[in-house]
Formats: sequence, C-alpha cells, structure tokens
Amino acid sequence: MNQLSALIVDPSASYTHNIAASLKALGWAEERIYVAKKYADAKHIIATKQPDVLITEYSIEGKQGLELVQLMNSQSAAKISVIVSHNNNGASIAEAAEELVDDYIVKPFQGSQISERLKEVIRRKANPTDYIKNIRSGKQMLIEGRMQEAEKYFQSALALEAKPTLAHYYLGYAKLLQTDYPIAVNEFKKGLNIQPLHFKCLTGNFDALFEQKAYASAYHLAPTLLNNYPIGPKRLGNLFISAVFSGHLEDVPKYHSLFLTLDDVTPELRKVFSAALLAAGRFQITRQSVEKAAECFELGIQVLGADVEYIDKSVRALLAVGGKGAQLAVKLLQRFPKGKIGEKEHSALVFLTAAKTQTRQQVIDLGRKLVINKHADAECYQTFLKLLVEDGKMTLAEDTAAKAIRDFPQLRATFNAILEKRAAS
Amino acid sequence: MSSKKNHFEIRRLESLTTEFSLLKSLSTQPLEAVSIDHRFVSFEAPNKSCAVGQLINLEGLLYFNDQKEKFTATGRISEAMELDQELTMYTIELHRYDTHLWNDFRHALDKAQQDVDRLFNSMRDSGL
Repeated sequence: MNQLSALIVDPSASYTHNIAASLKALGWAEERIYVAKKYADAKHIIATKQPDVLITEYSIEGKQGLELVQLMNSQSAAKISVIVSHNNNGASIAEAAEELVDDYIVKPFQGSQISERLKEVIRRKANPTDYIKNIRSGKQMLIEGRMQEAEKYFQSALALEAKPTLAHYYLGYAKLLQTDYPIAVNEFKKGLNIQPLHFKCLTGNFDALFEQKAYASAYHLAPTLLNNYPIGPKRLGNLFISAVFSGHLEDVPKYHSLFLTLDDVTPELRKVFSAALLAAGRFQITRQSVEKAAECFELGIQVLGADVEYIDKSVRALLAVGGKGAQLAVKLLQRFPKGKIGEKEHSALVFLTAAKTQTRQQVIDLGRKLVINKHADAECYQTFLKLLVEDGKMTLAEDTAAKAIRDFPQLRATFNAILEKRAAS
Repeated sequence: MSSKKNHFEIRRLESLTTEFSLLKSLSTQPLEAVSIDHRFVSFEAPNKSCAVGQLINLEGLLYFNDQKEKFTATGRISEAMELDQELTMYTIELHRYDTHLWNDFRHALDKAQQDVDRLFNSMRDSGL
C-alpha cells in the first residue's frame, strides 16, 4: 500500500491535513502524498505525477471534483477515487457513482472514520476477484481504444460469475462507444434480465436508445429510472428531449421539481429544459389549456431566467390565443428584464398586448410612438395598420405602410393588402 | 433522504478563566468543525488563537435533520496542529455539554453517511 501515491484536493488545510494524517497512519510515505487546495494545481499534479489515488472535495473553486476523477480514470482503470464532501444531494451522489468513484464520504468526519474507509476502499480495489480483474482489464482496453480486446475480456468475464450483470453492461458499453446501438441495447437488456434494477444497465439502455433517436423507447424507461434513482443533469436533459420528441409534452412541467433538486445545473441543461417547457406550453395552447400553457412559460422563465427571446416567444404564443391568453400575456410580460424595459423588444410586446387588452385609441397612440421610435417589428406594423384601416385613419395608415415597406420590403404585398382592404370595403 | 448539509458552526469561543473572546470575528464569520468525536471537536483558526491546555467556553449551532440547535460547552484545547503560516487546527476536549444533543448530532451524521452509502452502493458495482 505504501507504494501507492495519493492526491488530496480540498480548499481546507484542515481536511487535507486530516486525510494526509490518515494515509500516513496507514503506512503511506509522506513523499507519495500530494496536496492541492486549488483545482488547477490538482490538474497539474494528476498530469505530471499520475497518482494512484485521488481524494477530492465534490466542489473546488466552483469546479467539480468529478472532472478530476474523469481525468484520473482516463489514465488507467486501476485508479482509486474518493469524494469527501458536505454535499449529500442524491443527484450529486448519482453523478459520482456514474463516474466510477470508489467511495463517497460525508463531512465532517467522525473519529477514525476517514482512515477506516480509505483502508477498506483500497483493500477492496487491491484484491479483485478474477471476474472483476477481467472487467478491469477490459476497461483498460477501452481507455486505450482497443475495442476488440476489451470485448474479449468482457466475454471472458461472463463465464466467471453466476450473475454477470456487469460484464453484460460493459459489453453493451463497448458497443455503445462503437455506435452499434441495437447490440448495445441487447446486452443491457441481458444485464437487466439478471438484475432488473441494475443502475448501469438501466442508464446504458436509456443512453443507447436515446443515441439512436428511439425517443419513445428511451422515455418508456423514465419511470423505472426516476422511481429508483436520482438523476444527474446530463441524463435529465436527455430525458426532457425524449419527452418532447416522443410526444409526452404534458409530462414536462412535472420535472421542474426534479430540476430544482440539482446542485450543479449547467447552462445547457437550462436551455434544454426551458425549450422543452416552451414546447409544452405551445402544446397546451393547441389543447386550449391556456392557463397550463402560461404555467409552462412561467416555469421556463424560472429555469432560464428573464431571457428576452424566451419571454418574447411565450408572450406572442399567449397573445395568439386572445381572450384569457392576452391577460396571461400581460402578466408574463411583467417578467421582462428590468434593464431592458423600454427597448425595442419590450415596446413591441407592450404594443401587441395592448392591441388585445386596451381601447383602440390607446393602441393607436402606442402605435404612433412605436413607429416614431423605430421599435415596430413586422407583426406590430401589421397590427397597427389593420387598426388604422378599421378606424378609417387612411392618411396615417398610408404613411405607416410606407415606413413598414421601407423596414420590411419583403412584406410589401402583405402591407399593401391591408391597405387595399379599406379600398375594397 | 435529507440533502441539507449537517454541520457544527462555532459562533463564540472564549477563555473560561478571563471570559475574553479568543476569536473576535466569529459572529460574522463562524468557524466550521472539521471533525468530531464522542467528546472532541476540531476546527481550523488563525495561528495562536488558542493555547494547548487553555480552558474554554464554546457556543455554536448544530445543523442537523433540517433544523438547528444551540450548543454550549466548556472544554480544554487538547491539541494544536499548525497547518501553514496562517492556520492551525485546534482540537477541543469537551467537558460539560448536553451529551444527548451532541449524540443526536453524531447520530444524524452517521445516518447521513448510511443514506449516502445505501444509495451509492445501489448504483455502484463493488470492487470495480
């Protein structure tokens, strides 16, 4: 054991000291224990010293310790990694398990707990069964990109265990890496026949189905996954996409509570979830469920933040319904970012909501200002022109149409047609 | 399973004999216990904040089971380990304190670790 080297990563000197003292008590040589308080230093030590064991905080300077685990695991299948953290969020633990972290220890430590657990995890890793040895060798081949040899190891492992779920998983995983999705799915299913709730086979099956765009089949696995395990941000994003593309749009808002449990929400996940909520809102509009649509849009704003483009699309979708939709649009428009009130996008939405909720004269006044300030978009011009024509204000209508054609020459025919309606009537 | 962080925050640390505060900034920047035991607690603080053998009064908050409990104790600085040029890890041997409350806190830490283990092991294949 004292031939192994270890890297301890934690911003707190007390924790690094505590863990280093535990390793020394287990017989580790001091010169083989590296310590980093900063993420960049840890990365450098992993690259240059290639330690055998990594003991890291879950979160270091806003970055994830799991990225260090990935870096370590890309070097060899025999590496050992341990997360030590105050973070006992289910989704974080799920992510750690997926990254093949060997142990997850919750802070603060109690007595000799850290020492005992490190000893146990190293013992376990150092004394693998023949079955595990084969799988580990296969994993090493995967790291080196030698797929055929990896598969041979996993095939050999099948004969070494009565219930070789993990061997089936890795055979499936090797096929997944080679984009041979149907065979990958087949192997994951074999694993699930042995252990119906095996986490890796379940998630592997989901991933393989997702990658081959079999969204309905992938989404079919969602209840089993969600009822039994927490879900990390990446797979949750894929779940949203599967829900949308398999037509389960009414399910999307239900995932908001799951989304809120995540500690680490990437900007990509925010985008994917808010886009799914926008699609779900539009779906509710087609079912005449305007209030449910507004709820989806509101959740989307909570997920993404007060994003101008998102609010614009949501408000216009509600306005298109009219009636109750227009009232809900007014409410949603209040979520517009404060710093951008009065700018072109905001003025346009204010005008369009006014067109559905205020008197004609109020709307015409707003329309005049909108055109003078050059804040009118094509939809605003069309709405304003129709109103002017209906109200018989033809001089102003013709003047507005000229400006509209100047700004949107490709819509000349549309604007002229609105003017001609008056002439025809 | 609770996802709230269980921890012990030290908010007042004073000499038992002089009743002078040993760390002035604790009301705004409380210290967090690094490790605990059945009657010991360790924390890191600026060098020379305390001396080994010094008798102390301790006051803090125990956060566990999604709530917080006030915790007071008297004790003695039993160990001081200088970590670097700025920080020392001090260990306090607790003398008079609410043992029931302290044990409840420790059980909550055990429980949190057991919950994590149960979940982690259900997702992770042992020995790999």
